[in-house]
Amino acid sequence: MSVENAPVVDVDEAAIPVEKKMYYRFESNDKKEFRVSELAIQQSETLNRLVEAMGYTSEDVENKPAIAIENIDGKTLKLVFQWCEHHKGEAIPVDDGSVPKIVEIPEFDAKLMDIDNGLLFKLIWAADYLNIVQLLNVSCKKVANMAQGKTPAQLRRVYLLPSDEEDEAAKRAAQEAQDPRAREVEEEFEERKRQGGNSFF
Amino acid sequence: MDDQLFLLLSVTLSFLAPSAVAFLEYFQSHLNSTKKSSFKLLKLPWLAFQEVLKSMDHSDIFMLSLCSKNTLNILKFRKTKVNWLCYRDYQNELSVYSRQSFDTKDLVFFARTIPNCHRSVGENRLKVVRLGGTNVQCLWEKFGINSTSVFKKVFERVNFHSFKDYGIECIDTNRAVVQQAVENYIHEIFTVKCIELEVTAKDYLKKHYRNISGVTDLTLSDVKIETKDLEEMLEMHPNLKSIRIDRYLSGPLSVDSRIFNIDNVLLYQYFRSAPFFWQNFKGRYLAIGRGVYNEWDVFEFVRSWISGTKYPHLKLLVVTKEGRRLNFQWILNQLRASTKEWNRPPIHEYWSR
Repeated sequence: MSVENAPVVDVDEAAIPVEKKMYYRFESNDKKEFRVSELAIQQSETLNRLVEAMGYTSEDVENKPAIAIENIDGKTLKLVFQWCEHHKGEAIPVDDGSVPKIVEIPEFDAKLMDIDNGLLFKLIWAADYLNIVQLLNVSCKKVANMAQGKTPAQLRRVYLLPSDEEDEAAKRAAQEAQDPRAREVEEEFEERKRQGGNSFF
Repeated sequence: MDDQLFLLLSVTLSFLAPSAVAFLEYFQSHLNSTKKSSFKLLKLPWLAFQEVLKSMDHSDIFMLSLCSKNTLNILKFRKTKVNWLCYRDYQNELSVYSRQSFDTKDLVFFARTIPNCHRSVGENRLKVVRLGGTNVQCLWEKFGINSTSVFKKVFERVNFHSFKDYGIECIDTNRAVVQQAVENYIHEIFTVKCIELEVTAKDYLKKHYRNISGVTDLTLSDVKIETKDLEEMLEMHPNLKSIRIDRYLSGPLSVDSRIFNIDNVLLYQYFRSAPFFWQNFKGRYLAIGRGVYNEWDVFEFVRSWISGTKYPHLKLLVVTKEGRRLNFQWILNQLRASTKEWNRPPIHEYWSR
């Protein structure tokens, strides 16, 4: 099944399915609404527990407002629900402790994750937040694959890793921002030292 | 803000020089593509970041640790598990692999020490890499399918199952310093369950790379080895779980030799009394190539093994024979053996694992 044909239905854009399955409504932080099947929700431990705790009936789903997911935007949430719908009913994998972890990226997932790295970052963040184990596995595998055969210099570019000097500068800036008085005290201390004073106080 | 600045610059420069605008466009597209292809790894939530590390090959984790002090500290804090790490010593090369199974190898690190007089590289290609508290001067060398660099030759010779596009060549004549630095560094970022040391006996006797600590599996290859040197090596590595000697073992073994206490022993070319070896052996798995024995030795062995009077720990014995073939029918008749269905395990299970 291709990404475009995945059975996620955006309420604003497409028709509501006529099946009698239970569909939940979710709303992203940019007010986009999604309808997701009960089976698909089971891929996310967080959402599954949430809807269980709410105890919604079919009428509640229609009458009450959509469940707000305030940390995730519509674009990312669409990808997440597309993935959940495609993999609904599949068993949730258990970590067997093998290192490196053996993860195969299926064709559908590879196409779904054929996105820019900013969105991939948000997708991983969402998978972690919603506790979708397999989505987290495949997306993290994609990030791990970026490192293959790279030198440290290339890795710094690929993963935007600051150099030691940049880390030092950032640390200094953070310290100064946290305590503006500290710099003044340090300058005063240096000045007294130059003047030959043994003690600061 | 950046876009506004870029637009302003473009408009200003378009009056001055069209080529400058083209350059700016190229520069902006390059900047965008770099941003687009980059991933903020360290900004990931901790659990997700750990998942990325779990999926990474050990060689990539090693390279990641060289990126900055920060990445090194993170990897030290969250040590990566390695089931089986293999140090391979060949003349002036030290390779470190991680292994998941008997027949797979993933190169983690490759160090090749070169005498100063053979340096023929520009200073700009030399890098100082801090390994385990020691600064090691290294050369980054690309090798690939069509490359003619030393790495390709090395990789072809040892027939790696998987390899990366880059290796590290250490410009240092002192092999022991490099070895110690590499070993310290590896143990800072990896938690290793089993350590295999693979050396040529020739190098071993020249006292090269003798200080790898915690070795659990030892492989000696290439040349014949004297039993007294073997005993010295076994004393140096008291925690051995397996030993493999690829070539001829020269000189007599004493009955209290340390080799008899090792769990898994594989001798490719023994050429002497195999019963002497298996009678003194206290481990579990023993494979002897080209041993000397006869039908009566086999009969005696099987009878005492089955009755439980000897060999309480032994689980598997494989002995190939030097000289004339055995009369198996005679042995079977003596043992009054009956036919039984049995799925023979893969050949490597006979060996050191």
